[in-house]
Order: sequence, then C-alpha cells, then structure tokens
Amino acid sequence: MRKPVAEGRVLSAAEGRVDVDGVFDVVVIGGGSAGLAAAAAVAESGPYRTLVLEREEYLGGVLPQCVHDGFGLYLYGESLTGPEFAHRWVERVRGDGVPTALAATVLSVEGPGSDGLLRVDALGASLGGRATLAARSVVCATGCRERTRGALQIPGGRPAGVLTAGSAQYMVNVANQLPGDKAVVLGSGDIGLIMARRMTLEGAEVRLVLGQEATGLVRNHIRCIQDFDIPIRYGWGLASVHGYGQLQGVTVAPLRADGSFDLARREYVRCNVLLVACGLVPEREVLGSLALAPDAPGLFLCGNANVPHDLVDQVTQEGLRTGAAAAAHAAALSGKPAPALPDDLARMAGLSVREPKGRMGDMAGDVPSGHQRIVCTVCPTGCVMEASGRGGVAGNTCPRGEEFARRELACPTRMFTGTVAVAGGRRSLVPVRTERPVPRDRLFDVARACRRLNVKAPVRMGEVLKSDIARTGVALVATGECERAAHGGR
Amino acid sequence: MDVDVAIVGAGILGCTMARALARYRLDVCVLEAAHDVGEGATKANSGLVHTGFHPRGGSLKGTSCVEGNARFDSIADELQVPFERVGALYVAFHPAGMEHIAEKRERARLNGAGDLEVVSGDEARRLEPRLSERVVAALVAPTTGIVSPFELALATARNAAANGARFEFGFEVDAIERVSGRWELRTKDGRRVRAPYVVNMAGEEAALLDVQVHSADLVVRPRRGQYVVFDKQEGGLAGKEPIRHVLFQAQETDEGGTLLAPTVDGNLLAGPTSENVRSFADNATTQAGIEHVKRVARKLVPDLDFGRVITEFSGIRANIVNVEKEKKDFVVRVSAPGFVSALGIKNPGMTSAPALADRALRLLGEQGLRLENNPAFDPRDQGPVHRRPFMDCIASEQHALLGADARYGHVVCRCERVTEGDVRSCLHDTLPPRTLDGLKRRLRCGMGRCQGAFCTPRILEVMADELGCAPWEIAKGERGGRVVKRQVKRACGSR
Repeated sequence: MRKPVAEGRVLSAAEGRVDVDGVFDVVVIGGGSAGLAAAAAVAESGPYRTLVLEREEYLGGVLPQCVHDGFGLYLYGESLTGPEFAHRWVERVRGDGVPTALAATVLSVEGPGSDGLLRVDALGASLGGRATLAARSVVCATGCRERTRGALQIPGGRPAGVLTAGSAQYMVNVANQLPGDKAVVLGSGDIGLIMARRMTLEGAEVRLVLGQEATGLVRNHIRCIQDFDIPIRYGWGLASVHGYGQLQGVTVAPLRADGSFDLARREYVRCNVLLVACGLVPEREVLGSLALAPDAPGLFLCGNANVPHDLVDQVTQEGLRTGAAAAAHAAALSGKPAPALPDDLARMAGLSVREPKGRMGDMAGDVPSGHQRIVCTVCPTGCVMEASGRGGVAGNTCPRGEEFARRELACPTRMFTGTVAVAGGRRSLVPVRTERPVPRDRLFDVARACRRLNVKAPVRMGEVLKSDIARTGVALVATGECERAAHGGR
Repeated sequence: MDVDVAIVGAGILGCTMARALARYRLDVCVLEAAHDVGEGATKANSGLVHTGFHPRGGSLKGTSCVEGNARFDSIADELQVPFERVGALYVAFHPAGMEHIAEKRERARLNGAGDLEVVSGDEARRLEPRLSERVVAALVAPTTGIVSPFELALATARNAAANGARFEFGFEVDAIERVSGRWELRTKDGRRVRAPYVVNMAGEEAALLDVQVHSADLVVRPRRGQYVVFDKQEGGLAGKEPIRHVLFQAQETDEGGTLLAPTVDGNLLAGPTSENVRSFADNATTQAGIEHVKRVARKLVPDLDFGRVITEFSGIRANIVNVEKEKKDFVVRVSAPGFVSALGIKNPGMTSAPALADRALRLLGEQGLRLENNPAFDPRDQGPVHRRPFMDCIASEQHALLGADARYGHVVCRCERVTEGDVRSCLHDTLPPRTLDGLKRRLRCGMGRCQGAFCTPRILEVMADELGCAPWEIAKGERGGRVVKRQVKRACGSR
C-alpha cells in the first residue's frame, strides 16, 4: 500500500474503520479546508452525527502540499504554511470526535428520497468496502482540479514532461519526485509563481514564466519571481509543445489583442518540464445529475467545489457557514435543536476578509529607476509601496509600513519554506520553514542545506530539526509530522 | 527460435491473425518492434466498426469491411470487449450532398451491406436531436458500431497467447532472408526467428519489409489524423442530450472524413483530420488541425461545448500514395513463397481485420501451410490472471475482491475510478503493460477529465512499489520519456 503522507495514518482492517450504519445528520465529502471547517461547524454547533469522507490517505486536501507560507493571515493574524494551517483544523476535528474515513472515495450521491434522506455510495477500506450512507445533509467540499494542457488545447507533440503546476507541487513537495530540471511555467497566477520558486529552490532552472496578463498577487510576484531573477513575460503564450519521448522545448509567442499568436515573433525555449498553471475548475462530478440541481434539499456546496477562491481563509469561512446551514437542515428534518456555532467559529465565519491589495493587474507601469517596489507583510492588507534610493517611502497606509520598507531596504529578509528528507518514515519528505525570516540572499544556502539535511522519523510538528541552518543563526522547524515507518521505510 | 508461422506486427491485424492461427495446431509467434500490442495505428483512431458504405463498391476494403462487421457481435462476446451498434448517420447539408448519399448507398449495396435507408432532415434530427437544422437528409447505417480499438487488440492478443501464440516484443525486424527453404527474420541486435511461413502485418513498416522479398511496387506514406476528445458528461450532465450516433458528413469542400462519434467509455470523439506528414512518429497535434476538427464538429452539432474538451491526440495511418484514389485498395497478397503481406491497411482496417486475416490464412493454405484443427482452442480464454476492473465487477465479485485485498477499495484514479488493486493486478496480467501509457490504455487511469494531474504521481508510486523499481525508472510510453526525472531529496539509508 502506498505510504501515507502528511496527516495520514496507515489504514489497516482494524485501524481507521468508521461506523457507517444508521442515519448521519451531515456527511461531508472532502477533508480539505472547506470540509474540515464544515465538519467542525456541524460537530460543535449541536448534537449532530457527522462524518468526513476523504479520498486521499491524509486530511487537509491540497494544503499539505502547499509548503509555502501565507495562509491564515485573516483568520489567525499569522502567516502559516499550508501543512500548519491544515494541522489546526485536523486537530480541531479530531478533538470534536468527528470520524474521518480516509482513502474513501464517493461514487455517487442520490436523492433526496421520499424519506428526505440523501444516499452516498462510497468505497474504501475504512468503510469496510462498499457502503451506502444515509444522510439528512450532504456537504460537497470536493475542491477543484486544474485546467490541463488538453483542456487548453495546446497543440504539439505528446511527450512526457507536460504537467499541471499542482501535480508538480504534489510530486516535488510530497512524493519526492522531481519532474524535470529545466522548466517553463505557463500561467502567472499564484500557483504558477509559487511553483517557479519551489522548482528554483530545489535546484531546477526555471527558464521562463509566461503570463497572458498580469494576475496574481504582487507579493508573490516579488517573492517568487523578482527575488530569484526568474524571466517572466506578460502578454506571451505557449504556441506549441515539442518532443516525442521527452519534452524538448516549447514555442512561445506574443499574444495579439484577438488572442491569436504573433508567430513572426515566436521563440523556442528548451526545457524538459512544462508546468501548466492556467486556472481551476470546480470538481463536483461526484454529484452526478445533482450537480445540475444545486438547490436539491439537503445538498450543500462549499469551498473550491463551489467556486475557486483566492485564499484558504475564505474557503474556511465558507465551510463554517455551510456546515452550519447543513446542520440546520438536518435539525429541521430530525427535530434536533437548531445549531448554534461556538463563539470562536462564529467570529471566524463573520470576519471580514478583504481581497488582498496589490494584484499584478493594478500595477501597470514599471518602477522608476532607482526605486524599489516593496510589499508590506506586517498585516494582511499587503500595501504595495515604492521606496526611492534616498530613503523616501510611498504607498504605505500606516507608519508600520514605512518601518517595514526601511528594514526591507537595509536588509531584506524572507521566510524560507521547503522540505527535508526523512529516513525511516512513512513518507520521505517533511515540510519545514525557518523559525523566522532569514536574509534574502541566504535563501539558496538554506535550500542547499535542507537538501543535505537528513532527519530520522518520527518528526513532530514544530520540532526544531536544525538549530542553526546554513549558519544563518536561525532554526529550521518542521511544519508537518512524520511517523516512523512500520517496516523501516524506504 | 523456429516456429511454423511468424507474424510481424502486433497491431489489431497481427493480433487477429495470431488468434486465427491459434485455432490450428501451429507454432505461432508474433514479432513486434514496440513493447506492447497496438502501438501503431491501432491505438489512435476513431474506434468504429464501419458498415462499409465508404469504400469503393466491390473493393477488398469494402467487402472485408462488411464481412468483418457481421462478425463483431460474436468477437465482442467471446473476448468480452464493450461493443455497441450505435448506428451511423451520413448527413447532407444541401442538394449536392444528396448525390454523395446516393453514391454511398450504392457502395454499401455493392459491398454487401444491403439497402440502407435515406431519411429526411427532420427524421435525422428525431434520431439525433442535436443535429444541425441545416441537415436536409441522412443515410442511416444501423450496423455501424463502436469499440475500443486498443482493448480489442489486447483482448485478441491475450486470447491468442492463452491459446499458445507467443509474443516477442522489442523485436524490430531488420533483415529477412530465405535460408534453406525457410525465412529467417533478424533484428539488429542478433535475435533471429526462422519460419517457413511469414505474415507481414507490420502496418506502417509493412511496405519496408515487403520490398525485401518483392519488387517495390507500392509506396506507403504516413497520413495523420487529429482528434479532439470531450469529457464523458458531454450529454446527460451538461443538461443536453448525449450524441448517440456516429455522425458523418457529406463533404462540401475539402473537409476530410471528419466525424463525431460516441465512445464505448462514454466520451465523445471529434476527428480526424487527414494530412500527409513526413514521419510515422509525428503524432503531434496542430492549431490548424484542432481548429478544423472543431469547425466540422460544430457544423454537425452546433451546440457542442468545447469547454468540455479534455484532450487531443493524433493517429497515423499507412497510406498508399502511388495508386490513384479510385483504384486504391487494401492489399493482402503472396509477395514471395510462404510470405504473405498486408499493405496499406488503414481505416476500416479494424473492421476488416477478421476478413483480412481469413484471406491471409487462405493464402497461407495455398502456399502449403497445413491447417489442422486445434481441439484445445478456447475462444474466450484471456489467460490465468486477467479479470475485469473492480468497478466493472458485480457486487458479489467486488465483495470477494475486497475480502481478498483491501487495496481494491482504494481508488487511485478518481476520474475513471481505477483502484490500487486494479493497478497491481494489471501489472501481472497476460501481456502486462511496461509503461504508464500501457497501464493507462488497459485501465483508463489518467484518461479522464484531470488527465492524470491527480493520479499520475500516485500511480507511479504504486507501479514502482509493485515492480520493485523507482518512479523515475518507469517510462511514460513507448518512446521512453519519463514523468519523473529523479528524486528531489535522498534520505540516508533509503534507495
């Protein structure tokens, strides 16, 4: 059986088995950020029976592979990494006593029948095989998938080495598989930029990032592209893929206003991996024909399965609200008391999450020479400032921003996030970050030190893996867990 | 190695030939340059069992097509491959198209497919509600069917193998020589097979082999066809009627034979284009090709949603170029004593395969091959390990599989619902896959709407574990590209 990762545990016949008999108040499909928040909301708002069905062998959805930070700025006022953010909700749901069926795939959802119940057909060893669950409410929190090369209809050869950015992220950060070492990234949204940085830090050469238009957060543009001098072109697209066996290269060309390529100005870029980061599609095919009836009584959609969100904070909020609504529907059917969210969850659900400032699209024009663009990370607002060489700062909305800009000018620092190899563990990588930001020009040193570093399982969340990484004077801490392997690992 | 009959090529025709010969007491060996069956034209085409109204009346192409079509029900039943006679509509958009319809109707009659009905545009739209309002008439071919070409070739090969035929993969015939009354086939690396009888069914390579024993009378060049594949729910779940028939159009201009066809897996296929290319290896798609397919598809069914396209692909067919169009036909002939060649086999090659194999068999008999019935031949045997994927099993079978191995309860490919148990079992099947693509063609893992974005790294881990290798040692396909270049980080004490 595949070794579990992140929050997962090895499933055996005895372990991880959940009781599927009887009627559930709420069945949550998907144990990612939306599903976990929904489950917590259900469990903590009344005497409801709930269950989370997760198709992977770990909880957290896409978060365990998002080893970078920037999660939870609104909900927690801190910049957490993906695994850390997931850990909080996994712990919370476990603390609530919600059963979670891992490696359990939902095959269909039907109903509601004359009894008002929805039927969830699912498969998984944790369910004792194939099971049909009866539920008063079903929360569909199945996330989204990426648009692929095929969906984008990008012409050319059909070689190995063309994959989506999220797929590459799972490979590099979780599965310990490097897809290539000369990369082109198509798409300048946040996922594309973050993968450009990850590949660079893991020793690959990112030869070009292509963006149809400037999207994504300026923060990511600066920290993922500018910091590493990665070539990026806006207004350019991918005209063709070359190679039969292995990807050999791509033809890139400027896009005209009508969306066609100006092939007279095309260029060939040699590469052995192409990361496609061109948008997300809600994934709710599991609902079958019910996907066309979103108002079916008892059926609730939330998170990226509803609509792709920019921030996990928003997904979590939607999960909380949806969980409460699903519980209310179940309560009305069963005669149980109406749900009441506990104060902290109600507060979280009600927080105003503003769209972060500083999108690339708003940043037309180059920075004047001698000036530097700085994105403030003191608070979630993310003011985009311009600092002149003479020490003038503009664009900040509070004094803390100016102070941040001066520090950034004197000695820019960055949080390092990445992974470290684990020996004897149930997984071969554990996510890490530096305890506090390190000087920007030391990031590669830290990355190299992380590649050399080896730790032994078990690894605990928050454990200091190296007290002084790459002689920066800063400690390297684990942002995830890794159990010892049952039989010596791999 | 000495055998009675050596078949060159494990495409649908070579596999069908092997199965035909396995019915007799003969030592048969299939020599295939690639490392899997169906790696040539077989793996990438429209997947149609044609009625036989396209080929010239009375041609081998036409008559073998009609004969093969009639045999598909029993073939599909014996080999347990999905086959559906969905029927075809050959539609005309204008009065000139009526002439095409009349001509096709006559061809069908001459080829032995009987009298096909011609219906009005309204009647055609009753049969296929999303058909264009512009359609004025349609030729109805109820016997046209759909099948998965790779699945058919594999099941045919497995059945041949289970009945004693041997398959030698990676055997690229480099030289053929007559040595003391037998043919000797050699590879560059010194492997050799001797046989008194050779059947050359090497598809794209067949003409190159043929000239080693026969004058170079036929020139075969690659012709490429590009396709666009729609997600399964184009139809029901998109709130629209699914397309149920194969839709051909009477050509107005140079639109090629572009068609729309449902697949046995529930997808919708649009294509192919028809373009000469330089190399049989050139399976690239082009912007122009994809646009062409979309344009013709939209002409047939105007409300197609191209946002539901999940992938594109190309197939290469072997096209005879030095015979004028109206005289062009399949060629199955004795090229030298005991040496039978099948040349220029393209569409409807899969439909024609049973009849073409029989023709080759007859020619071998005329050349002196003794055909003595093999009483042990079992037309259904697929080998000891083979079984249906978990999701295709009935509840009691699923229960038994889960009891034996809980990994059948672990879905690794969510789009096509392939379990970890399926992947592991498939790797030990008769004629097992050696690459990720080989696995994909057998189980459909990675063929769905996510195109492997979720499952590929996970399936590589399962494959590597089951085969005892590393993920970066597993090739994507026949041409050897790798999805994984190497490990990101190496832990001490690990591989």
